[in-house]
Amino acid sequence: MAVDTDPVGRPVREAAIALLDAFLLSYAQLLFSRSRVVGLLLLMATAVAPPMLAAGALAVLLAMAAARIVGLAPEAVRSGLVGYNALLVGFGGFALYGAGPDALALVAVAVVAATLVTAAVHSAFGTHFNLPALTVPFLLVFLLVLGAAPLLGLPSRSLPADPLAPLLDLPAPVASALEGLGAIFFLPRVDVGLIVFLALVVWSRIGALLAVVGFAATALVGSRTVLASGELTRLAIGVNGALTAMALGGVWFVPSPASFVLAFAGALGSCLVSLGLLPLLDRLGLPLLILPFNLTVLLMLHALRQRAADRWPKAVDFAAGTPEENLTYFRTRLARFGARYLIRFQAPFLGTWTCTQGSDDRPTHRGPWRHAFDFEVAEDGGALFHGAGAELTDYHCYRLPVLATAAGTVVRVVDGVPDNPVGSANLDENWGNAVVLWHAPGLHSLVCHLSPGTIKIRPGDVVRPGDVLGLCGSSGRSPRPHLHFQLQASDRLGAPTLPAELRDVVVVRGEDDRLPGTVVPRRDDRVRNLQPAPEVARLLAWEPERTALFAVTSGRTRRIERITAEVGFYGDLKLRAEAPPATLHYDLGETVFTVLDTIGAPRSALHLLHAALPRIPLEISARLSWTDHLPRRRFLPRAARALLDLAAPFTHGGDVEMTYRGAREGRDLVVRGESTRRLPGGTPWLATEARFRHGQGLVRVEVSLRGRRHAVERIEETTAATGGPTGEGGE
Amino acid sequence: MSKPRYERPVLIRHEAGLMNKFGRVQALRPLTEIDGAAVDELVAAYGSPLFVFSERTLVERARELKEAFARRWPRVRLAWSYKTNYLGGICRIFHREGAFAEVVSDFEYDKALGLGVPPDHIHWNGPYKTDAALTRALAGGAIVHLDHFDELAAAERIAERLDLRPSVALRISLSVEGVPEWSRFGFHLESGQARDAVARLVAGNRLELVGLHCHLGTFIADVRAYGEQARKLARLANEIRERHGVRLGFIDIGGGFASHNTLKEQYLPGTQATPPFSRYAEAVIEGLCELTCPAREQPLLVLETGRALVDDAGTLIATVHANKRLPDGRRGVVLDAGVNVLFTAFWYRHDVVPCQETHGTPEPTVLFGPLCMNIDVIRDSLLLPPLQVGDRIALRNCGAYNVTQWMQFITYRPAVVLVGDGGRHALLRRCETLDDVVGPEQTPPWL
Repeated sequence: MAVDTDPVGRPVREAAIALLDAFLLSYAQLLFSRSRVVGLLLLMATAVAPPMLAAGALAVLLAMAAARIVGLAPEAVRSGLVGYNALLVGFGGFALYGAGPDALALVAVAVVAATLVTAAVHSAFGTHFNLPALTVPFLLVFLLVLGAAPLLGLPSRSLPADPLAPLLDLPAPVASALEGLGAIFFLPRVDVGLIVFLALVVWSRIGALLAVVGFAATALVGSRTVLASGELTRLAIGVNGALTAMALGGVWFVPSPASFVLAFAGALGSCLVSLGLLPLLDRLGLPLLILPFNLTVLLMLHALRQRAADRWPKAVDFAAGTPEENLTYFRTRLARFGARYLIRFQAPFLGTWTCTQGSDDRPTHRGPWRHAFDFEVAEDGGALFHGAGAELTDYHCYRLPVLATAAGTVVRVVDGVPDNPVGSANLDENWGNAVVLWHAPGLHSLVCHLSPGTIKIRPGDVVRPGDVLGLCGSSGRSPRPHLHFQLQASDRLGAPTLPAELRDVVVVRGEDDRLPGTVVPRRDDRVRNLQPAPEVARLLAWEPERTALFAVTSGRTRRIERITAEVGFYGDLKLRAEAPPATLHYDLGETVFTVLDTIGAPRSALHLLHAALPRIPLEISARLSWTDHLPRRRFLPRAARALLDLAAPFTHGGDVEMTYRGAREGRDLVVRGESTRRLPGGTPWLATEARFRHGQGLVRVEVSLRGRRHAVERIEETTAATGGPTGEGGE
Repeated sequence: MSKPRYERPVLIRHEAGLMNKFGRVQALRPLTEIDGAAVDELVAAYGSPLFVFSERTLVERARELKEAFARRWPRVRLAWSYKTNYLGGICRIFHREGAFAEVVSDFEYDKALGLGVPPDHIHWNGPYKTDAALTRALAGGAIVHLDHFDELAAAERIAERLDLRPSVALRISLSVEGVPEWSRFGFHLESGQARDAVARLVAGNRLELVGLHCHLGTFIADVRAYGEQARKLARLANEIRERHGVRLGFIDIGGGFASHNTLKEQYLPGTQATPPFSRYAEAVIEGLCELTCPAREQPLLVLETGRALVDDAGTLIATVHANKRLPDGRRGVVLDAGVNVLFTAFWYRHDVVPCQETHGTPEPTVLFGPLCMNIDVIRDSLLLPPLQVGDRIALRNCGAYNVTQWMQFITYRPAVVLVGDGGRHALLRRCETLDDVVGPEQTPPWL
């Protein structure tokens, strides 16, 4: 078996890969990318002018050495975040001042300075404003270089004109856009620009489209302006606009029609900044560089974060990926988990209850109190009571336990309001006996109409989801026993309600129990909480730091992947595959196993695992099915994906809707999934099967994608495996 | 136009103390169909006598029970009591509803495994488990409920031999006011034997104590008994937790809930006397509230309800073979079904309903079976209108124990059918044939 058995070679190779990453990603970061391929393409673009290739490469290496000596965080160096400003300084310094000894010395000092300034700015911007450093460090350092060079007797050269543009007879806007892209590397040439644009397309189709929008916006303005400082400034205005459009439209905001409007506006804004600054800069004898881009993006980002509602366009929630990834992640998450809160609210009762008044429903859930829910217990036939229904005790829900819906602290308890006789309501004490829980700042939950004397908790008590708060009653404005539940911003009784979505709640319809991502109960919905079985949790638990070997078969190819379960620094759970590298982030709660996302090489078996078990309720019964959404993009061939990417911001969907069911088969737990979407023959577009075995955990995953089968099978752990624990005993 | 039916004249003695001489007669609505399947059609297809089970009633009862408890306790498990009715189709319905299996013998264990129930979904009860059976159960991962010290020792030996640490429960017997004590099963609580057993089990350190089990008795209509039982089990669980640090995974309150049948000694009919499941649930949960463990660690509640789930779903259709007048003036009716198939007739007053329109004045009637045995009496006295030869009657609430305790005696055992959605029906068990009876027989070579 081709298992890595060279314990000495591994660290050396890893160090080499880290160096290569640090080098290539310093290039890639200039286009917001973290891809080695993009980095390599940009490196090749600079190779059009070999001295520039050397200057850039030396600058990055020097920056890496400086970072190493100073002791900057290795992860930051590897991600290219330390090197890209130094790279620009290197390009700029060489392009303007040549390779004389004095010039080289100045540029070398500047490169080291840029490395340190990057670290400082990155931290300062990040900590105080939660803003990216962009190329501000380059601007700061290069400003000093521009000032110091004349004093050192270094004359500045002008950038050589493009030798190709006159020959190619390209339309003027295209030529200037391509030259502009080259100008990022101080190489305003069509051929360089073409390779940069190619790198842009490889990085992101949406990004490339945004760049075109940016260029178009600036061309609108540019064609009407008279520039004193020549052609190069025109190029700079264009490329600032393009970079601004990319950053705003796809990197820091989720691509959408609104983000394209923002991109267009941002590009126009950067034009305004350029034109506004030019007179001043001209007087100072300074070039425009990429100052407008930095100013515009930072200001726009900061300004848009002051919005009351984060939408149209929606800002990305964390470390930006490619625009495509941002979009996919956002859409999938919205479909899976809803948009409301990070806190999961369960149903406030045990067993199956029926919603008898939903949100925005008559008679009382109106206006400020519209996001409220009434629940009662109904028999199969719909009857809410047995007997005549004249006594409180005739009602099925009367004096059933009422639970905390999420972890929280008791902040208000009202008790002592008597239960009303059936048919009458106490309008003076509208809410009756009630409990208000605090869950998060500005987020409280209220249950009310409880039976007097049944509330066993006091203000200040800490409760966990499922803890009993009291018993269902009919106090306050309640003509018959029922439970009222709502979320609200303050702890006041009668505070206006907030929209509520319940999670991990099963909707019972006839013979079918369905578990959607989120549930907003409507009138007549029968709902219940999941009933988790510890045995299922045991099957799904991965022992931390344990490595398992999986044989991955796709068509006729077969390879071995090592997958290690890890616990992150913040207690986050993940499965990590080494080659090809990928990470699957998951969460194992008390009711559901959830894959949050899988990041990394598309070939990795972890994507297959993700497809087969994105969510598994810890309750397995033949009647229970659950739906989930997978990002469709990940399952498409490269060409189709590229085409789809262009249209994605302007279309809906983009997810594969899946339905899963679990079943016990002997000692195995088998989870099968099918996409709603079908192939022409009627077979599912995507079908999955995951098999867990008692004492072993996951043993097999099979994914049939558009009729092609892929299998991931656990193979016995070999003691030859390095690093991991040497499988002692086992179960 | 059909000819009007002949009504036999009857003389009815006037009884003092009744409002009138028809005072106790109930209006009888004939049972012509079961869940949409016509009785005539069923008998034509499968013969008479015939056991008919209603899938809808089974499911409704199972869900009513589960929900009654699940609305009051976070984790509830139903373990289907195989001995009550182990016809494969019936068990499958309960397993489809999420029930585990509760078995008391090798045979029942095999039956459950054969129906695809995983071993760890089987509770194994009963006072008699051979070493071989115990070995199978412990090795397979079934949940074994230990009944006595010898069994405890045997389980430890087997665990040692197999190098396993199996999960087991202890059967507890306890006394509850108003319920005859079944002290022969399990470790007795009040005498201190149960505590000794726990201490012994924990000290042995070979078995993992995961549950307590107690089965009070049978056909208990007083819910307070269950409250008391749950309270005692909860207190014992608290004690085990404090003294031995053992966190119990489940508390099994056994079965014994009353069905809607009427016992012979009972005054009110079962339909009025039997409490709904929610009353049982209230009482049990109130008892369990004595548990002092944190809410998160509250044990699972296991129910082994058998009779109350399946009794109501079963109906025996029998055909009138003959009418005769007894010397005491009562009318006797000879049916084709006797106590050999309706074993429960010994202790229940089964509800009797004609399957066709009846005419005439009801009079005291005795229902006899077909056996040439004096004890073959299905009902010794009830008021029934005159029945014609060939008429059919339905004996209600006979789903529990009959199709497991019935005897092959004098006659073949009849067919059992299931009626599902929309009146569709199919066999659960066909009528026996001669081969079924003589098949296991052997002829000694000298005969």
